[in-house]
Amino acid sequence: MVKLKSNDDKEFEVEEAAVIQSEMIKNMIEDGCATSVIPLPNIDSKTLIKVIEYLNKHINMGKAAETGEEDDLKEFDEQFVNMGWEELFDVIMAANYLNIHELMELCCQSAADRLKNKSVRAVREMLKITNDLTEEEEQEIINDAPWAFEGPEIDDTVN
Amino acid sequence: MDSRHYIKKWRCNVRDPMLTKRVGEVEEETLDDRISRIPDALLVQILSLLPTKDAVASCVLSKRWRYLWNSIYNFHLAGNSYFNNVENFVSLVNHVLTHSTCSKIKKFQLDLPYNPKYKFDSNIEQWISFSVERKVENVVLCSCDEDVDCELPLSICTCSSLITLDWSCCAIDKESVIEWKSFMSLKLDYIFIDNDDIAKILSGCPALETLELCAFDGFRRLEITSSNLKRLTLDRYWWFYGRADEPLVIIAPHLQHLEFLGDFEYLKCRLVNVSSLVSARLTLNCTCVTEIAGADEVDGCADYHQDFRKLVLDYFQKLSNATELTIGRWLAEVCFHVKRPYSLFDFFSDES
Repeated sequence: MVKLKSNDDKEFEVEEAAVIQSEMIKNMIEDGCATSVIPLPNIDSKTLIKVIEYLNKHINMGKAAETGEEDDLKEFDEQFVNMGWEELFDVIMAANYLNIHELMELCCQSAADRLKNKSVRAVREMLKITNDLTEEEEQEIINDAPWAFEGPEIDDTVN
Repeated sequence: MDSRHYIKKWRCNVRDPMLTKRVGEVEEETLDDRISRIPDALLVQILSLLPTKDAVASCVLSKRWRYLWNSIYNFHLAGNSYFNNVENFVSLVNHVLTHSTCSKIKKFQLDLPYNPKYKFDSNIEQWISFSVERKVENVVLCSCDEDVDCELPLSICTCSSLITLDWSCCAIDKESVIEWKSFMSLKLDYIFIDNDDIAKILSGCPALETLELCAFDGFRRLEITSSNLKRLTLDRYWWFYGRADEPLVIIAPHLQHLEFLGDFEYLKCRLVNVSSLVSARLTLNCTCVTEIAGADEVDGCADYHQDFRKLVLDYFQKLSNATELTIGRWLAEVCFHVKRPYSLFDFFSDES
């Protein structure tokens, strides 16, 4: 078992087989730097619980294909990314820090799926982006590539 | 807003011994703060998963996003909605390629808009060579226009970074040399190539593992000598230039997975050597000679069907070492018509 500590001082015990899906922790273990608790100063406990849930489910992923558990995993993944933007970005940051390739891919794909075909207005609203461009600057950018902002597929809704 | 400033700030926080004091602050962080804290590289990763048009449109979100998309490493240039406005699609692609700063492209996908009046030949050559110069790994070209051949540009034929290629309405120049050293997977759709072409492709990519040919015609001999090539799929026979009764001979002693899918019309695929097969999926169907348009007038089709029965019997013999076998309705029907006692067919009868 490996002990992880979140930035709000909560400790979690995780099976080594699960936790080595994180390249960062795998390297630490291999280098003998994981003898006691591994502090994760930029992951809070709420996010770490999500990440551990993912790691535990994806343990021995290579075997899933043989045992026919692929569909089960797919369903889990779909449910897993069913979270708000805040939480999704927290998991993306944690996965990036821990270097968990598959989790990164899953979460970035979910973000992309939500943004696909969305209008500029909808994306700004979804991601709460403050537009710091002046109206003139904005118009100039649009004029440079007008066909990127038109088309029947553009969706102006925010869900 | 300089994103690097935020990354730096974030990294400093990591080492901040007083971190526990910041907990309350972190919890109350808004989405806006979170995105500010996300490194550009991660946003580029998300933009790279979008249709490229959407990635381009992100440039107007705010100052920070202005040039982010220039670094995307996957390109999906979808022309499906541009069939009335091909010029705009061409402008989009040219704009994207002019502004891209990516030095290593992971995936380059072009979905050409359907427009019989527009010829993309020179565009394709230019766009593909852009991707080849940037060490592209995966290339997809979709064309909905079956009447137009999209010839493989010379630049891609010797692209050493290429790992997978999926090309529809493909034509291969007789003079071209194919050299794909790290190539793993090839899918050609709607393709007429002769025995020499297919032999040239196979010898040009020694590392090839997967070969998929859809709506194919031309070649009648498929000899796979490479022990790397494990998976072969033939999906639909497409009658290109008149009818040729010659069977397709398959010699692939190292092949492990074989698929025959869809309509094979009258094409007989003869398995000569497939001794290493582990699994086979045969869900093909063939057409009765009386239903083939343009076929010679025939009195009956008994002999024709008898030939297919022999062929199917031969499949079962050749596949006797495979551990997994899936058969489709047509093949099952042919089985049930076989009168001679045969243990395998008895099994199928029991199942029904």
